[in-house]
Amino acid sequence: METRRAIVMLGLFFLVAGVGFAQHNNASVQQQIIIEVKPITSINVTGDPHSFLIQDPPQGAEFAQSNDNSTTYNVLTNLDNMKIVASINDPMPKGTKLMINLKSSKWNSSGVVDISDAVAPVTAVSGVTRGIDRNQTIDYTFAANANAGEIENETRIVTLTVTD
Amino acid sequence: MFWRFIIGVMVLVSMIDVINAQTTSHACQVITFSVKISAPKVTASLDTTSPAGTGIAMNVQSGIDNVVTTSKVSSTIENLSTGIESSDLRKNQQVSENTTPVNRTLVFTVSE
Repeated sequence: METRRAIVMLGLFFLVAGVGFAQHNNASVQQQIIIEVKPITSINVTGDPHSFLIQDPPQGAEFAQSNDNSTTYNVLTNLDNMKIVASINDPMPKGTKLMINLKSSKWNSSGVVDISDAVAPVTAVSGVTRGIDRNQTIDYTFAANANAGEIENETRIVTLTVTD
Repeated sequence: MFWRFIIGVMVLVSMIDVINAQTTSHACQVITFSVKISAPKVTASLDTTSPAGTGIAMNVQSGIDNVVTTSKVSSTIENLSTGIESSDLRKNQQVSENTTPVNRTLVFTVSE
């Protein structure tokens, strides 16, 4: 009986001692985490529109037209008060027009914008705030009247820019 | 030397920060276009030859700047298609005093 009591007491001693030892060796460290997010804007397009060809005279209007809405654009920004502007590398030939319409589900599209002479950028979408607008349609309209004459496969480069 | 190294690293880090901060972004599309010339002409003809000594004058107007219009006078179908100037007819032909009223139909045709 005495032996049994002694074993129990010894067990309790080691238990208490072990807990005390464990508590005494608790340790912690701290790390400082620095985070930073830079201003980010991104815009990309899905390829180029089809070639525009006008070969029939206009039907009841001065200008004959050819349209394309086969491409889309994606915009991402973490900035407010931004806009999307469009420009062209060289003015369109006499008697022709190139118009663009950037659709937007989040921001304010300017609708159909004439970029025939837009070497200086013109606003296509305004009120761009932080967020993402994906798969938005780009509508192009190429138009020509009788002053255009014959034009054989000319090219222009249209640049879309997200800017403030 | 050590502090120069530190300052150099700081300048480099600042430059990388500037490069990473994108406040504008661009995307480009190539536009290719062609315009083929379609140059239709308008011709006119009569259903029946005009009576001898008479002619029909006409002047087709066009609202498009570079379309050439010509005033033409005809006494026959052939003359109308070849386009005799009205002044020529007035000088060279005389109209009979006893011509009775007749109807003629003028047909315009657009063709390449």
